[in-house]
Amino acid sequence: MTLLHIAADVVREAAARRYLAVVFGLIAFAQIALALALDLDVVEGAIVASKLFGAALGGRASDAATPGVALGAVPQVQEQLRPVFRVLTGAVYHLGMVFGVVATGDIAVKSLSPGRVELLLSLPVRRWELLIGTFLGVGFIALAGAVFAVGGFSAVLFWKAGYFTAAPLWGALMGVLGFLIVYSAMLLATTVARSAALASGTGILVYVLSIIADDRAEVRSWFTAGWGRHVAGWLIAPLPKLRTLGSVGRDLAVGDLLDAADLVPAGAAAVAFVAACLVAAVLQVERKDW
Amino acid sequence: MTTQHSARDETAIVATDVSKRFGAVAALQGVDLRVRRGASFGLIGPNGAGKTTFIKVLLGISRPNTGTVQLLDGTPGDVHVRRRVGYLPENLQLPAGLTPRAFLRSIARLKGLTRGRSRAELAGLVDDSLHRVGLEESAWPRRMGGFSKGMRQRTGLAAALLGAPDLLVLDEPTDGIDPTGRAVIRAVIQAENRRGATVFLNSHLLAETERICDDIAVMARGRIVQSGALIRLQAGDHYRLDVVDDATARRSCAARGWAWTTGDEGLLRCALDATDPADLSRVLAALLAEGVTIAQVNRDVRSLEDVFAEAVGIAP
Repeated sequence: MTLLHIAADVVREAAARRYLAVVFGLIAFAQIALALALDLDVVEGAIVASKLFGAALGGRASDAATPGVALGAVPQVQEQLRPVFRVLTGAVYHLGMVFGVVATGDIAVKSLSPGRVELLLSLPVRRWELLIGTFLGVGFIALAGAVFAVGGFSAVLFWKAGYFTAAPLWGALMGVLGFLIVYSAMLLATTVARSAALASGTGILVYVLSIIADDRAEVRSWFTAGWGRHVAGWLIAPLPKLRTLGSVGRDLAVGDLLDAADLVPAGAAAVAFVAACLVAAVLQVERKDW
Repeated sequence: MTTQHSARDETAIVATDVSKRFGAVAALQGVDLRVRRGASFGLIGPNGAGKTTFIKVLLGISRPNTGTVQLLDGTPGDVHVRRRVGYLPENLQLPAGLTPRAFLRSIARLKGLTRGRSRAELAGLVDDSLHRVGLEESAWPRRMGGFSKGMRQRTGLAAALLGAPDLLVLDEPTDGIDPTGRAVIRAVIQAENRRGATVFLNSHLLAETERICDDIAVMARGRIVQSGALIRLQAGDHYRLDVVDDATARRSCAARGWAWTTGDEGLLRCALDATDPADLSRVLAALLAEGVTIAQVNRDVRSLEDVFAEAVGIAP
């Protein structure tokens, strides 16, 4: 229960920050702008035929099953919208990652700052609860941001094309998981030195290296055989495959079947990375004096 | 029904041989301290003496290199013990985006005070605490980012008071607060002590400590250099004796070599060198036998500043 209270406090405090409200406002603005600008029009009373990106979709009024789109047009709508959802999910994944790293860099720093951490540690709160609760709180914020961004765009498309699917939300969920991988490293950095810049820098570094590490076999080949290649291999090995997870997210967003050969190793590596970072962060906090 | 109290029950804090080092700096060096339950205890000392470090060790925020701390019959690491503690840290940093009400609700939740209470009851608890510390109601819905030092201190104290703690640890509670506010906070602390809470006060304001505390300890260079009941530590070596100014009194004083001063009230004021009550009784009996009329006897009381200066080895 304490974990959830701490997580809720992190969310409350973040929600009270003006810049986060501005960011959510900008996302909403982008959604409205897209709604007005995208060439996705449902024509003839939103029943008979629709036009997506200028291409007309066929169908009869009597076949209408999805509001605004004739039944015969649904597969075509899905097909037409595939690139939209893939781009949308990819943008939310990568832009959200960068923004999230910058926006959440100081959350744990503030909780662990002098004058604040003393009060929290004098309460019936265990040190690990403070840390994991903060992690969960940031996870909730990331989830809210991703759902707001992707869900909003899905709503725009529903309004414009009369076609709704929840699949992009699953893609957004993969984005949240990707961000939490990065955030676990940021949290660990914060326990080593209380610095928002260090936390955000660590986040960006893990993000970039993890993208590069997706091609780990190729990266290893850049080094001469011997100790150099071994060291490079060891350094790359623990990094999660963020690009693969992003790609899985985009597949989920368009309802494609997932390739277990891709997902399972990437997912296991991600879980191991997060667990290792959190355990190291907890150990660091447990032995620390404030 | 009889209630048995053990020695442990009688003490709120027992620190034994507590040492703490930060690299080459010895912040605490073998601190031994006992604070009795229900006491109003003041820890005083010069800057850098180790007072705040000691408080952090007491509450488990820092861990000692050697020694042990017992808090309310438990250890500082025990969350059940910490549930019974209210703490106001020095230089409290409050979440800038939250209102005092939201902040206190958060503290109440973390203290487990929401259990068995409705939202309205919790709101009442929070508002009552804010009322007690004298934070103006107009500030309650405001974000705390714009609060003055005094407002932050009051909010922090309100948070410490939540849940009627058995032990209140207050690190410079009146720092940055105007004289009127200090009086309010002093009254709150005294009321908490009357309720039965043990008060552990760290303040560099000796006058505040003197007004609030019954027991004190002086810390210097990481050691407790003086401790005990304030009344005992402030007691001087002399008694002041006022007798009716007449020929008998002047003769008796002169015979003992006492210097005297005269006042408007027709009294002679002498200083006695009696060092304990037995000495005093003998002298008074002799004076009475000689026919001297005694108006009043007072023990010289030193200021806390004098006690402090003597303890830390500086000239007052």
